[in-house]
Amino acid sequence: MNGAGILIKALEAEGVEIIFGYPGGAIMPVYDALVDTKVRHILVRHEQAAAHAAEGYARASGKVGVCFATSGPGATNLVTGLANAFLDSVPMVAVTGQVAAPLMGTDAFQEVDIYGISMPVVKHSFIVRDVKDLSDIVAEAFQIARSGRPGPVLIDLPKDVALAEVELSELPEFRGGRKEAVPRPEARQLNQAREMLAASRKPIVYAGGGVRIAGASEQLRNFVEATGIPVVTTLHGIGAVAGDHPLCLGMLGMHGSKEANLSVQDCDLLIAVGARFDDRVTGKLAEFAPEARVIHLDGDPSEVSKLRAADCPVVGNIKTSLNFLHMELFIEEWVSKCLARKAEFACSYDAPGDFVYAPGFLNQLSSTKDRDLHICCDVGQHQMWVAQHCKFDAPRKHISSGGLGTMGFGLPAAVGAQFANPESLVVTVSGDGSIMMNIQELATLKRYNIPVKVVVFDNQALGMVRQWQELFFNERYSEVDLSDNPDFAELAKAFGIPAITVNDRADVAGAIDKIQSEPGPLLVHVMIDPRQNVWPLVPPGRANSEMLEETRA
Amino acid sequence: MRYTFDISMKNSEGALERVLGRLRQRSFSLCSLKADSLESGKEMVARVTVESERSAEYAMKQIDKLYDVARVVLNEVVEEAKQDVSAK
Repeated sequence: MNGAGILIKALEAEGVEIIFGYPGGAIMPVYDALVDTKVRHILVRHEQAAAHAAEGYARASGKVGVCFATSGPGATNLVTGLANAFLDSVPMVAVTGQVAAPLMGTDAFQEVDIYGISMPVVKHSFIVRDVKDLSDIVAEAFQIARSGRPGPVLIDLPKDVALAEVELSELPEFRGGRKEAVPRPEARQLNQAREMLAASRKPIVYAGGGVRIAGASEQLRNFVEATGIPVVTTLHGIGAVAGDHPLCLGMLGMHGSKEANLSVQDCDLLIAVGARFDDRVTGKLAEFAPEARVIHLDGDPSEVSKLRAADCPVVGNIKTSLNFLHMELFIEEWVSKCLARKAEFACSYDAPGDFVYAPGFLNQLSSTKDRDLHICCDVGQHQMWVAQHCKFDAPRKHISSGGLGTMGFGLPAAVGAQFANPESLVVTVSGDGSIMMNIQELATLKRYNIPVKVVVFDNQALGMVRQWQELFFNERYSEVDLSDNPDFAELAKAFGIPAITVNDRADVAGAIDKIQSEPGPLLVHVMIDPRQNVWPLVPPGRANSEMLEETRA
Repeated sequence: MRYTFDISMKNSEGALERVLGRLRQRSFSLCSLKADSLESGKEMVARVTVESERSAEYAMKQIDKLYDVARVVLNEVVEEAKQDVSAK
């Protein structure tokens, strides 16, 4: 058997069911070996999409996503996807073909040092120098990708190694990778946390993506039920508690809800659960939750006290920690205040004007509960509207590019999410800017008849940049006009995908029905108000209490 | 502040490069470096002196996350006399 065959066998041994990739010269031996395997390969139309699809699959399923690309440009095209997975802690194994080892370092055709290029955006990486190491490297790569704080791992495979023949009996027994167990939280810290909780009169839970990573949604919900503490979430914490739970105050931060931001600013105890005090969350860090002491539960010690010193750091398994902190609290006054705010600031969705109101569209879409809905977002205004106006009952159903903010993520991520959940309704919510960054993946939807529904909110502009230019750059609009967009419905049809255009509010209900009922892929092109902004908004560098709100009638 | 770290790591391809890259990217600028692979060839030890306004703990947590790194120890801390504290 040659190296390529060993690679595929090792992937099978890891239980890999699906690979997203794109062939090319240096990875041809691997594609040759694919012919003999039952592992499914999905041909995307750009390597970046392979990485995002693997990531969408991983996020939706909790399994390790796998992608392939060839050397040189194939490998560099993966880099954005690796970085995206790195910043959002998504388990992924990427295999790149490389020129033959004797040619490495000679500027050979399609040679780049992808090992070096990708170093800052992978959790770890390997160059396979000896075919006998390959099966161990694959096992170790999966172990690293999924353990501790998950992340992407790159395996760079030179072509001659992929072609090298080896007797299976010559392979070493698998040794197993370094076990990276999340530590048990320390009793002393847990006891301190209990004391702080008991002393608190105005506590808030601030839940992040670490809840999903730790699989601790149930424990978080139980903790909230036991203590009655109101919850705010980050972008990646959405769904960690059910979005329609009475104690859920929604997302905090730059585009957070007023009730979430004001309650955090007022609280006397902030219980950060798998969250990392990102700048989009805190606003001006020095004025974030100024009255609060902080209990920080996290699996990754490097996130604790990185930006905000924790009064009580609890490093270790979040589930264990949350289970230990159940207690009855006497915080009725505080909870009433939070809930009164929630009622006061609730969105009414009766926006003035004739344009389709994107937040209303999304709220309606997520209110239809007859099918298990997953939403994969692109990046921009529509992404924030999804976060604000859709309700999710599980964190894996809201798939959004948080740390890196990668336009073009949504469509390929939905491809992966749909393969992870064949029976679910998977919707990409995109904008007229983002969708063009990986529009070629409509061909992937067509080829495999993937029933992803693509909603394109079209405001004829790079909306989020336009919004910032309006608010913070004196309305000096620079390179944001997209009024010469293609006709997205016609474009979809050219790919062989049915499409409708929604111009009028009256047509929204019909469009949502069609999204629910269309058996195959569908593109829904929705014209929205070009002047619609995302509200509220905390201006950059300001405290979260200084939210701007809509002023235009 | 100027910190000297003693770092021992698996002597795998690129291990030292990862350490130096991580330090640079997290705003620790390199002042001096001495690294040797041990006789067994499997381990490398490096003494790295860096300068930063960030804490030693921040650097150590970031280095410790690297898969090849076995151990990182803070060997020395030197406050720079010349630095104008009010400018911070």
